[in-house]
Amino acid sequence: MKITSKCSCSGSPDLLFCCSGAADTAEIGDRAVRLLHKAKDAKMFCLAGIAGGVELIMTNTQAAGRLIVVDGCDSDCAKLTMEKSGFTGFSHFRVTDLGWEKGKTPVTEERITEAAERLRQILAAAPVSAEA
Amino acid sequence: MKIQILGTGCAKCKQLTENAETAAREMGLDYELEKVTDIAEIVKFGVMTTPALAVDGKVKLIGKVATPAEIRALLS
Repeated sequence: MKITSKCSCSGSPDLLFCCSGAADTAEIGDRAVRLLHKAKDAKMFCLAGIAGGVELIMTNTQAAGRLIVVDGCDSDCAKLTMEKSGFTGFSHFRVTDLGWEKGKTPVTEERITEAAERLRQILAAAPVSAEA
Repeated sequence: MKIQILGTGCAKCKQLTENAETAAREMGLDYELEKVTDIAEIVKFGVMTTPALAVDGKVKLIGKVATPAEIRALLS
């Protein structure tokens, strides 16, 4: 069923998931995601809730607009977690793709800002994944 | 059974309400239907997108006008 009349329902938020792992590059990814969250560019959401199959987190994610998944390295833990839970229509960003090596990349404000800018570009280009 | 429709009262919310009532009637359920339109109350459910549907206080559907058939599956 498609309803075409003007609707005051809330729009589907864009969601960001990050591995938030232990490595330096994962920390850069995590802090870049939080920058976007605080700037209200998109909403950071709990990857652990996806892994745990928490119903409310799963249902909100299914209704989301764009989904962006961030990994600190090529282990791609966040990507695999999303896929294992049945989510496939997301855009993926790997922090090491910016040319930084895991374990040899000190976390700096400059790098966090650079990663955040790349995330904003990915967000702008990402397809909307949710059903209306 | 308590069915709650979470939404500010637009066309999609109204359609979801109608579909939920249709589904509940078809299943012969003894139900109470409540429309939750206060955004502060909606947020308390943890819902980020409306319309949404909750059954006995538990959110079952978010951001979608489900058909009566889809709602029947959620109510069973």
